[in-house]
Order: sequence, then structure tokens, then C-alpha cells
Amino acid sequence: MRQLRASGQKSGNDYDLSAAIGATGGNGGVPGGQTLRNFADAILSGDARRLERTRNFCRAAVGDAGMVDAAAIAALFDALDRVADATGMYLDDIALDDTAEFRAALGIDAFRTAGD
Amino acid sequence: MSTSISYIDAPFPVRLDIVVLHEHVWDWLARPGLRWSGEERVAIAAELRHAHRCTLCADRKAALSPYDIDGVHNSVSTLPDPAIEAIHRIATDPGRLTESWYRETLASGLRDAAYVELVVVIACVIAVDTFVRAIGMATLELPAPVAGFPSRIRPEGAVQEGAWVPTIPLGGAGAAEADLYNEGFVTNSYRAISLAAPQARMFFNIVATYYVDRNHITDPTYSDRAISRPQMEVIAARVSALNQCFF
Repeated sequence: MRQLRASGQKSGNDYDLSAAIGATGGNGGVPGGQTLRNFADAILSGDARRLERTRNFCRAAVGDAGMVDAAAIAALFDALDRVADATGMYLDDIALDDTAEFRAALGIDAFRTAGD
Repeated sequence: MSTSISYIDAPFPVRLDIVVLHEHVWDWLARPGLRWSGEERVAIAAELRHAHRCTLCADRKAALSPYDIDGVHNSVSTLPDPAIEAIHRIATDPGRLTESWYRETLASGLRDAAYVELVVVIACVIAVDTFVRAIGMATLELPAPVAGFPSRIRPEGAVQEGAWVPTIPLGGAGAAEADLYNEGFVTNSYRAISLAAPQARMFFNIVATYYVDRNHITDPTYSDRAISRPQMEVIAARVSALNQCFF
């Protein structure tokens, strides 16, 4: 999330962070954003038919290589979230201050791991 | 390399570096680590996969207070009970892990270094399994364990910094871990598993192959993939939101 915001700031694009986490619909200013988000949803859903359908939409939207890259990113963060949750990894004060506004606005502070 | 992995049956090309990475992960998984033997590490992977069929985990997942529900896990291994408990919780309900649970796990007999290595093994297997599922291929068969003994290496300089587990602070890496802490920049995720530094390198290889290499992580517009960095970050943000992960 921080990286998406930073990417928008550096490139001059105004990405909708709430769309990225699924709080609102649409692409959020990122080409293919909704399709990629739906693909991520399907990967974690455990529903094979839904996954096959969204995989095909993803291939159509970003190409075969893009879909494979998207699958890799989803897999990495599924793993990385486990590392964060299981080790009690923390955000330092600078990062907390830097992200306070959008964490509050997007409801990220209410995520289960936020209070640990 | 003892493991051969192929996605030739996929109806689209899969990057060769990902295939090679998966071969490396499976080969690494099968070998003795820091605190666990090859047989135990493969058992951790098997237990991880089985956890989603555990009735105790399902009951806890559905409960408002998962720590109020006692019982016995449906297990497929002879790993120590604290390890089975840790694997199942991390697999099925990671967003509700707590520091007090972690402390109880240690008090039950699992050493901190063994716990962190277990986390690294889980993360690496999830990175492979989730990818394979995402592209619609059959789950890979786990590798045959390689005989041998764990090295029992513990990195110098690991201290209690703020995470639940001891970590190597910035500027505190010994010679054996210096490459992981180069150029003064280390992400929190790297530090979080630094107690298993020699093993954590495999997870860092996954980060570099799936995402971007560490030299470009801080450039939020960098991508050498078929999707842009913002597209990557949309997926990352959504997955973490679904996992209720604050980070």
C-alpha cells in the first residue's frame, strides 16, 4: 500500500488506494486494477472454478506473462503476510507516521494484526 | 539439484527463472536446516498443507475468540506438538496470532531459532504452493528428504528489538550475515527472519524472483516484469487486505 502510494507520488499519478484494497470498486487509476484485484481474490478464495475464470480475464487484460507475474506477486505476499504475522514484525515510527493518514482513512488500522 | 519441476503442461509460458527457483526451493526444503532435519522440514510442509483440513483449526477460525477453543489438531506428522500448533495457526489464522501465543509456544518447548526457521519454511512453501495454484497447475509433490543433521548455527548479534522474535539490528550483522545487511538498507521483513539468516536467504531469493530485487525495492516505480509496479502493488495490497495483514 505504501509502495502504491509512493509510486503514484513519484510518477504523478493519483491512485485510489481504497480501490486497491477492495474498499471501493474500479481500477483505482491503475490499468487492469480491478481485474488484478479479482484475480488476487480468486487465488485466496480456494474456489477453483472462480480462479480459472478470473485467470482467463487476467490473461486477457495483462497478457500471459502479466498473469504469471501477477500470480507470483499474490503468492509472495500470501507468504510475506505469514512472516509479518508470525514474527510480530513492526512498522517503525517513521513508517507509522508516514502512513497514519491513509491507514485511518482506509480502515487498515482495524486489521487484525494492527493491534499486536 | 535433485528435484525436477516443469510447468510445460500449462497453457501459457511460465518464466524459466520461476521454474528454476521452485527447483531450488524444493531442493533446499529437503535438506537439513539450522534446527530441523530434512525429514522434519518436509514434514513441516506436509503439515502446512494438511492444516486446512484440520477440524480444530476450522473451529478456531470460525470462533470469535480462537484461543478459547482447546483440542487436538488433525496431524499428518510426528513433529513436536508445539510445532504442529504453530504450523496450523500460521497456516489457517495468521491474522489472529498474538505475542502471548508466541510466548506460550516457546514455553511449550519450541526454541526461538527453531520457530523462526519454521516460519521461513512455511513462507517458502506457501510462496510455491500459492503460485502453482494461481496458475492452475497441480500441487507439487513434496521432495524426498535428504539425510543429515541441522547446522545449529545461530547468527551473531540477534537481539530483542521490538518484534516478537529476536532480530539482527541494523549495523549489528556479523560477517556471515553481512551480505544480507548491505548498503545499510534492510526491509523489516528481512529483519524479521534474520534469526534464521542462512535459511532466510531462500525467502529473499523468492522476493527477488517474484517481485523485484532488493536494490530496486525502494524505487516505487521500478518493474522489469510484464506488469507495472503499480499493478504489482494493487495485487500486494489486496492480498494483504484479504489476509487482514496490517503491513
